[in-house]
Amino acid sequence: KGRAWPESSGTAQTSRPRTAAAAMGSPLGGWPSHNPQNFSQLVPADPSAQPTNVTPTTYIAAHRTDPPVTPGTAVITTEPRNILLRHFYQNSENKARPKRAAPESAALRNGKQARSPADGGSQSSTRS
Amino acid sequence: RTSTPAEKSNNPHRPTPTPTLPGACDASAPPAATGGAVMVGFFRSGNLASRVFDRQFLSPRPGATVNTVRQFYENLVPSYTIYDIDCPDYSFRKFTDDGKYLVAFSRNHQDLIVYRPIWLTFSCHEECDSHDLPANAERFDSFFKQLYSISLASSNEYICKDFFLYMECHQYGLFATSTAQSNDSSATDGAIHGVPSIEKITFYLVRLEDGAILDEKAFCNDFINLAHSIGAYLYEDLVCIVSLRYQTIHVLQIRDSGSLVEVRRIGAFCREDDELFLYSHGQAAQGNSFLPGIKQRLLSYIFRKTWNEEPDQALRVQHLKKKFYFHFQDYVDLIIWKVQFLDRRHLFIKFGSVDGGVTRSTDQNLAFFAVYNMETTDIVSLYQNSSEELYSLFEHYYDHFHANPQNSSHEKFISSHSNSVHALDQLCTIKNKASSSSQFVKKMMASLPYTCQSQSPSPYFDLSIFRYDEKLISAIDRHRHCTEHPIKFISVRQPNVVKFKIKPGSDSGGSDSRAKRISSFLFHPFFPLALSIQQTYMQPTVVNVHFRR
Repeated sequence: KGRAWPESSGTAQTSRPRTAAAAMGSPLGGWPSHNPQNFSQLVPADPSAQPTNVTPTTYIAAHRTDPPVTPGTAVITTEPRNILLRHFYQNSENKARPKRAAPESAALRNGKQARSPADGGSQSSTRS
Repeated sequence: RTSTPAEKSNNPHRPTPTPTLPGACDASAPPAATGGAVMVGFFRSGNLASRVFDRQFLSPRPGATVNTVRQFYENLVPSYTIYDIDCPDYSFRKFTDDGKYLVAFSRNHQDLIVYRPIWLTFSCHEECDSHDLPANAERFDSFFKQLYSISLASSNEYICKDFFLYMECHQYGLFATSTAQSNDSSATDGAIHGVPSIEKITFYLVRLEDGAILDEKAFCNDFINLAHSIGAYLYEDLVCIVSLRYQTIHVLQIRDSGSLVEVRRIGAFCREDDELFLYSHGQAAQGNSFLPGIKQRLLSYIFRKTWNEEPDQALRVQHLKKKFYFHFQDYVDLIIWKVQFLDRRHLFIKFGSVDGGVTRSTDQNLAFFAVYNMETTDIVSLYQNSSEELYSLFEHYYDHFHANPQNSSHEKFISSHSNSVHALDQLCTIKNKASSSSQFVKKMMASLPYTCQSQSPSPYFDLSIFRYDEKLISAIDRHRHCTEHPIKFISVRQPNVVKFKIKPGSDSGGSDSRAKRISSFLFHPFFPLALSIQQTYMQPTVVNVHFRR
């Protein structure tokens, strides 16, 4: 399941908390911080600034960042086939998959590959 | 005075600044001017001495060392010509791709003569004029040392002058001899109609170092397209030979010891034990009721693809009738024309109709290209010769059609439209001018499968360094009609500057223009040395040597 995400108790309540950096009038204001306790000891340089309970926005990754559980699933290897062969295999795999109720135009488009020799090159290409 | 360049780029014995360049010392040509060929502007000046100094402290970009060093060939060009050099009357075939041998055949097509290209070496007793070569230096054996002459063909056989494949790692050469062609094209036990028959074709494996014939393999009453080595393809240590008459692909392995061993035979049967299986079930005794194995693979592939095209079961049978059964006989009548290796397991096979099989003109006839996996005996994919999809692969990955890991590094740098911006430009120009897209695609597809070792790896054909008229001369070794004027090689970097000229024919140039003249050019893979050979009907052959003095 993975580790527990750090609690960000502050963000739920406050609508738009000002970060400590913004409170300091820094040009780098607005950057979210992972640990809400960061910058909590800071004293604003500007004494007139309001000593609010600034809670920096906490960065939460939108995807899982833990390493794959099963070892060996992220192994990088060299593809033994050269790129030309890879394309040949890929093209044939794309065509070999039986079409599922494909629209008529798609069937026509892919049907060009199996055109018989008797048809010749006289038909214009409908392929995009 | 002797000069022996040990390595192609280490030749500053007299670092002469090229005198004809007006802008020789202009600062680095802006890379943008060359349209993306950034490597062309690597050296800051065109002057040879200053390039050598640049090389001391500038290093090329990663992976571009060879391309950068090749720019020295702009300065070291075969600009000096010895016309009509006095040489033995042999027909010179080719320099091997590692530059170690020059292969020639005797006029009677029975002997093989191998030379070692040496640099211009001579000695003279009297005072040598530094501007002109002494007369006794201008001889063929100042440049080439004959190693041996062996007899390959016996009485009624002739060496096929066009056929030569070189296996670089062991310095083995593959040659072919044949008896006269008979026009008996009747179908006899397994042979197909319409293909002539040759009584005996023999392939010889020769160790070029000393001329020892290591092994031979004969094909009797068969037909193999030997012209320009089309009927065979060498990949690493495997050779595939296409028997057109029996529609079989023979895959031979060249062992290290020099023996030729047949490892696979694809045609009637695909797997090694197919024949055994059929015999054990008593099927083969009933005669040729089965289609050949490779044909069955082809038909089943087309069947499955046609089947998969139609998702609706009710319409499927109709679709099959229209696309497959209606043209069944046409598919059955296809024959193998030409084969190449894509890697050790995969073959790229061209199928076509019988009429176009023997000649090389493939434009009019329809053809199919199949990728065949020898181990699984499956056909991986099949394309018609007007296929846009295949053309797209041809445009982007052309180099992979002739990739061969065991080749010398020179072959990896042969210019093609997949690795050279200039060649791609030329291709796109032709494509845009073509009246019919499918005709253009078919014309391009006519160059597939690739013909093994058909291109010279010489840097003088590198399109990022030189421009030249490809109708008059190119990396592909074909005979061409002779031209009156010298062939110019123009620098890409400085488009107005002609770096050197190749003039075939005699110095006077004025010969009987009514006579048909054919020239061929042999370039050494890395020395600034080339031979131009001009043959005129009923006249002696003229050989010129072009080299850098």
